[in-house]
Amino acid sequence: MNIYQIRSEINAFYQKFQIIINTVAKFIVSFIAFSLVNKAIGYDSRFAQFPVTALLSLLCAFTPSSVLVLMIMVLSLVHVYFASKFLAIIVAVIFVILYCLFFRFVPQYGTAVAALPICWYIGLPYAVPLILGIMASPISIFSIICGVISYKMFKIINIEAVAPTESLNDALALYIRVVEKLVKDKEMYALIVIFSLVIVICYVVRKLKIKYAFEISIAAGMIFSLVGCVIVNTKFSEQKAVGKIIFMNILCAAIAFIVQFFKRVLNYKAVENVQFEDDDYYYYVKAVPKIEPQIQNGRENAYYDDLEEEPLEEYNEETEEAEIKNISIVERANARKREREVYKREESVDFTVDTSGIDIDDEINK
Amino acid sequence: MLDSRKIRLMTRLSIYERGKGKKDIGLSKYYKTDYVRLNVIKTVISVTFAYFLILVMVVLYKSEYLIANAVTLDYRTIGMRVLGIYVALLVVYIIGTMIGYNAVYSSSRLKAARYYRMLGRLTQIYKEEDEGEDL
Repeated sequence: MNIYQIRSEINAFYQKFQIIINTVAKFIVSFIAFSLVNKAIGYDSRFAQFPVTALLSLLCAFTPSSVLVLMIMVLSLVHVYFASKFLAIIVAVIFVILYCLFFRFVPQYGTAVAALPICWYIGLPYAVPLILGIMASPISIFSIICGVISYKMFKIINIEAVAPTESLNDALALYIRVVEKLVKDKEMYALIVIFSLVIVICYVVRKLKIKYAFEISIAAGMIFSLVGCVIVNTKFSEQKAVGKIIFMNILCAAIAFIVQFFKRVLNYKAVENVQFEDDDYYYYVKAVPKIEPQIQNGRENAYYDDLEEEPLEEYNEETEEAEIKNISIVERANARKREREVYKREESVDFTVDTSGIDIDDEINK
Repeated sequence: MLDSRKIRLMTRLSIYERGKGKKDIGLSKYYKTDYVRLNVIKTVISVTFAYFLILVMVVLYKSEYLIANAVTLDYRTIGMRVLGIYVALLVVYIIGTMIGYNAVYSSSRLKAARYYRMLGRLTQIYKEEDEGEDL
């Protein structure tokens, strides 16, 4: 049994118990995320208790991932508000600025924004730009910017939250200290640039039509991240940790490689239950995707299962516009004859709905 | 009598409509220029609001200096600089928005065109069924 067959077995297992696995995984991830937030900035002991964390995790287990991102933000704000009302206002304003300038363009990467500070807290921040580089488009740089700034902001708040803010002078002094530390943090700007370049390098290399493009992109991203982070650490950081940075970068590259290998599972088209009707029948259809590894010469076929793209042919606006306008008129005899031939080919095949990683456009391209 | 071609086609169309097609079909109701302009307007509003908040934060940060030198400050130069940075920021964001949403629309339109082509084939199947019944 080779590794691709093992992956197919895992895929089949996931397909069978998809709903349960997704729910449990979301609960575990949410619980870990909330626990880390409570550990980092858990000033309000009421919200840091186990029943509250479990309840919030249960809520996030049954709702879309955007709710988890929102709950992490709300929980963070609640904790900071308990420590200092003025600091909470500063955090809220910075969140709004980040949303207006960056996050509103990449709402689909909200998980990355929440994941970066959490991964940073456990020492694995380099995994997020690597994974975004191999799975997303360069626009995800905006989510990295939001994530880095959020992490640095909460790090500053951790230190400044104990400062008194009874008078207006104290509040203003606290505000000036926080903003100064955030704006003058050269390490933050350097890391934003390095992580952004890692995403771009990984994206460019994986788009090349070469063998092992994904593996080379992870290696290239890791090397750039390693060199960049070591330089930043030696130049800007007070705590020198070159050995730890090197080890963590290699570990994050291994994580990215595992994620990329199982991308087919993550990008997996689930069992679909659809219903529709025509003049004669109501149809209740269960479409089960086939899972078969496409192995050739011991290596998986090139697979354009990118989250962001499909193999699209060149788009000609005039042709497409004309086609859409004339679609209901079908008067050309050649078009009818061509389609009749296609229908005849379809009739000769047993009735199965094959949705195994092939999109509806695959029928057009046959 | 069940037609397997029709059911296969309708199943694929239904899966697409429930999934990625929601966004693509929604976008196909806009003309490209209208869609891009709408997003440019949203960007202008959000960038203006964010810049206003940043200005407020800067004023608060420099409040001691501003109050101490309120009489001697060159407000014209400060105003020109503030406006200049705002215009530059707006230009960058507008150009980026136009390029980005143009690309999003083009990509979405292509997928929607394929969907409508599949719909046309379904229409053709219905026509053939009707012709068969008439005969």
